[in-house]
Amino acid sequence: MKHNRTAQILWAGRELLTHPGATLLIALAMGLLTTMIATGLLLSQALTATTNRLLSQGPDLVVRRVTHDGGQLLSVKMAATAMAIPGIIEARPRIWGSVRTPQGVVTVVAADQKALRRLHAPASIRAPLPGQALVGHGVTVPETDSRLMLQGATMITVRVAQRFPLEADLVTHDLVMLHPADARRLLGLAPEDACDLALTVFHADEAEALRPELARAFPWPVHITTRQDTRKHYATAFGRRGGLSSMLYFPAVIALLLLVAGVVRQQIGNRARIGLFKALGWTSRDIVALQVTKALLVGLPAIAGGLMIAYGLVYAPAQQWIGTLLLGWQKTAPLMHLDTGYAAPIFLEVTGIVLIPYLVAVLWPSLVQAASDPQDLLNRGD
Amino acid sequence: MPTGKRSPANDHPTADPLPDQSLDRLVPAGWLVGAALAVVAASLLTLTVDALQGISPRRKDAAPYMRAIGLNELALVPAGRQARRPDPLPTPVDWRYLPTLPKQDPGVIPLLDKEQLTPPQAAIP
Amino acid sequence: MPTELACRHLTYAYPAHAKSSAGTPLLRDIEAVFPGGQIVLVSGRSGAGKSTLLHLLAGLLRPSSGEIVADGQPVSRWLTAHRDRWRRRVGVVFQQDRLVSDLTVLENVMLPLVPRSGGLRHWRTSGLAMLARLDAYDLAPQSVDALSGGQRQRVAAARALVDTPDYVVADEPTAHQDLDNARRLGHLLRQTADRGAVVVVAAHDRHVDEWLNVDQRLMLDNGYLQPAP
Repeated sequence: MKHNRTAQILWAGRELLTHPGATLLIALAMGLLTTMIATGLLLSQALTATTNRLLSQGPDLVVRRVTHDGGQLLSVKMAATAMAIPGIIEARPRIWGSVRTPQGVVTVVAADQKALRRLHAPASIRAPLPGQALVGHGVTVPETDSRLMLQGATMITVRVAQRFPLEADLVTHDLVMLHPADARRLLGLAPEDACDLALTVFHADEAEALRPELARAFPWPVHITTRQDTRKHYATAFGRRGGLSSMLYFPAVIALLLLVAGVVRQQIGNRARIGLFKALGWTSRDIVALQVTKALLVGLPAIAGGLMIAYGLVYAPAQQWIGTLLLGWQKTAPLMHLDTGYAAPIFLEVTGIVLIPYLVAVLWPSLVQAASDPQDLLNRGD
Repeated sequence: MPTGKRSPANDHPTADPLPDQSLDRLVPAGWLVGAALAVVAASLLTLTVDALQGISPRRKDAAPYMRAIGLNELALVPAGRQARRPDPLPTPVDWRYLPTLPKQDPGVIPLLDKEQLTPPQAAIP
Repeated sequence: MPTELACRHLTYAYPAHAKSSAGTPLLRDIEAVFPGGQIVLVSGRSGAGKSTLLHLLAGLLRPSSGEIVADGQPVSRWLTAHRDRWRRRVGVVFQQDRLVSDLTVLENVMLPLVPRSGGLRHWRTSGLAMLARLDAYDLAPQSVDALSGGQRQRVAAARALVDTPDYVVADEPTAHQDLDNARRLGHLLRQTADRGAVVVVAAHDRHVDEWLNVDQRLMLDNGYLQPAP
């Protein structure tokens, strides 16, 4: 029986070769559909997972002083005010902002020596000395020298001493880390000034509960951002972009419907062939088995190929298309090292979305025809 | 292979013990089936590798740098754009534009008010 | 081995969706027995309903009333699944040969064997053996579109006989054959009958006796089946 089953699968393959063009077209259409749908789903899942994981390494709370016209600087001494609140185990005054370079806007941040030591920063990070900068791969400098010109409150020129490694690109792509003195001079901050406070709490779940206490602790209005707020922000941003890219799903659904209609029509056009097979001793079960085998020989590899292409698009080591197409990068986009491990449910979901309608389109006419009398099929197919 | 000779109708000619496989197209069909199985197998392998990487990731990634730098934003969107920052307020230090401009756009009305404080020359007798 | 095929009060009228002659009985109250081990010739003028009778005997159609009985079983009344299984024992040579144009000659002959037990080697060996018996061995790798009418008929006959059926219905199987090839087919049908199969041949060829050793002759006229004069 097994021997015969193999031969029957070969026969199904032979049947497909009688119309190679149509077979290839259907396979390509299914593969393309699968790639479109799977890429969107995989990307959304991977971006969310990666973002959440990386953000969990950032501060639990960020406190900024606000006035009627926006954010304001605050004094570094306010860190002590924050530390006085039970539950806060670290308060880190931050110096950072957006500045211009000849090639565009970058984010500047002052190196926090204590944090770098305490947090066992990777050995690849050496805190920049005065006049030096540690930059991401998206910050371009002239090839002749490694000088970077930054325009803020003043203009400074620093030498690029080091670049962040590529695996950190999602965080550091257009980041410039400076010595604190250089950062203050560039941003126009006095020695006592900080942009905001980054707080670490004892238990991450307490962060939300600490909001009112923090608000009361400072002598002026503050805006407090929790890690949850940050996650929501990115989820909303991706959701908006996902909403735009989900407009791709509309033509994908139309394409799927057209594919199904085409397959049904093709199956109906096979009436005479089915009638002949029945006349030659093929049972209804044999015919349905043949049609299903043919459908699986086309559908499964097409879907599998589409899924692998989608996986490659999302997880290819040096891919930058996501940044360029979806996230607004004009020049070099960051390398997306996204988290893996989420493909299985998405693969299953997409396989179901694409394969089930296709199998129904193949099965339904086959079942109807297989139940008919052979001569009826032969006559109607002529 | 067929020899071209007619075999007598009364005889039961012996068929080749190993029929020539070029008489049908089942060998190319076999390649097609094999290719299909290979693609499906490759996809399952991809899935397995992905699952294993998910269970025990060995990646060098950006997490330690995120911790060391201390910001709560990622470089997913270009610097200076609203989507880059997780809170709705502009940074207190934002030198994207000319340094002489106020940090916030003052809006049209305050500028007009300032204009009206200076009467036009023609109105002075 | 089966004993016979029989028609009991068999009537057939064109179905309502047929473009012409809908409702007009083509076959009327036919009572006939086709015993195993014999070759029965059914003759009649064109349009008399010979093909329709053979299709009914082969289980390709259901009668409007009456029944077809095979080996004592009312096969025409069976559900589709059971009739499909019974039809595996039937070999049909169609008047229009009905070969599959996108398969080779050998693949066409192998078609009845594919859903049954036995693998690729068995299909190829059986197919080539049957083609050889009909002097069509050389045609095996060719596309059927390249064949002449006579060659196509021989391939169709090979396909009908490849699985040693218990019931054979052949509709004008030698319409395009020369005498030698017709005799070759006639000899094969004789051998099939001699091993106990039911063989029913429809032909209006006046020279049928030159290639076929007929045991019983019937004539279809005006919807009625009677012994031929």
